[in-house]
Amino acid sequence: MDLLSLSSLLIWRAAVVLESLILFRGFRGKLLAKYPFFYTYIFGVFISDSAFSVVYMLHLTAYEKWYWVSTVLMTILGYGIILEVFNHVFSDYPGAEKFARITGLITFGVIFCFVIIIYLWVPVKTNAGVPANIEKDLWIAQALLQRDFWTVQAIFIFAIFGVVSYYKIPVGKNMKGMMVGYGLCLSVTLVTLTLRSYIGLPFDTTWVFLQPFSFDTSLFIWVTTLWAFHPNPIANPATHMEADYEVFAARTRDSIGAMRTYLGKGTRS
Amino acid sequence: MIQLILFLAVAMLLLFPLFFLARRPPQANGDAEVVLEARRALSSLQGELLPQEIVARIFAKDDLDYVTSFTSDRVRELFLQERERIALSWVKYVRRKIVSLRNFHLNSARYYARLSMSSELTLALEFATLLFACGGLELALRLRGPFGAQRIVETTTAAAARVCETTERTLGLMERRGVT
Repeated sequence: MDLLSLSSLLIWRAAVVLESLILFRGFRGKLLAKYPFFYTYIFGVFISDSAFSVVYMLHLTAYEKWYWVSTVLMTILGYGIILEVFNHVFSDYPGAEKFARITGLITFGVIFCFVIIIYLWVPVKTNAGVPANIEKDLWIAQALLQRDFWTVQAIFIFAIFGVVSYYKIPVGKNMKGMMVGYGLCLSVTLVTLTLRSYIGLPFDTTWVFLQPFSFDTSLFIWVTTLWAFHPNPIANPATHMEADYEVFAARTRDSIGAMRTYLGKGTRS
Repeated sequence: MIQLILFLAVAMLLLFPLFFLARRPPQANGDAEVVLEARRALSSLQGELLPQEIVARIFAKDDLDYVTSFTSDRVRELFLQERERIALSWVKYVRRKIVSLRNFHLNSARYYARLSMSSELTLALEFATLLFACGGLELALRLRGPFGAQRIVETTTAAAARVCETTERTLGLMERRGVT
């Protein structure tokens, strides 16, 4: 076994360990019920990675056959994370939630129309006289399909980021970790898939290392940020204002107290 | 090639907000604090920064004409430097207060379930234009001196006054509803 295969295998095993740790902490910290879509995704990835690590050793052709099916399934499950983020981040902010929903749909619509126009207008290259390579064509189609799924997710998460920063919505540690981890995974995957479909096989050496490594980084972010429950720092607007009033009142009381002390000292001296 | 650039751009665009989000502190801004800040900004803009006589005084060309007619070049230069400093401070304060008003607006709008998308976009555009105008005014003041940007001063002041009116109405509405 060469160094690249060994490191790739190590990264893979590390992912399984990290996934099981996330699930364990989710169970211990009672986070499973709070973030069901996220943990469904992690559970799916855990089952897939564990099963495939066995299949990879025993039956390589079966692994190659089922790899893409599993990847597409996981990509679809990944929409659950976006749904989870959307539900939790905007739950107390109906105005911002509406804005994010409309912005996301409009952006998606624009990109969708743009892609349709490109497919319709840009002439398709035909390999006249060249014998069809079904396996290769299927591989490219799968890669493109997966890339499109990821792009849609990237657009939605980008819209969420935009609205969160525009409306200055406070985000707790759990949600921040979920967003940063998945966003990182999305962007790296998108770059690698695009380069892979463009450069082709020469990029494979980098791809087999970079792709799982970025996923491990995301898993590590999730382990640290979802170690325990950290809700979003938000309260009901009215009660929040009362709480703020208490803070202001306390500050004023402190200032008055300090002034009284100075006055007392001045009078005594 | 177009597809390659497009997909790479989407991926790269995603990385920037990720970086900022990771660095953002998790604390929530106090709602009452934002409202108080908006009130202060509004009274400061309406009472100190935007009144016609104050703006006219800062950017009055008569003063320059007077200094030019009755004093030496050295005094004139000093006068121009001082007036530029005052004008730049004025722009800086106006911009700061506008940001406060924008924060107040965003802070209120995010809770409002019946938020209108078109109004939000119009307001976002107005605030952006206003802040851009402030930036343009600052640049013009630095390049052409305190008396060389009369037109931008007028536009900025008028636009800022419009934003003040809108915010005043919102604050009035909140007071009537007993929100604050």
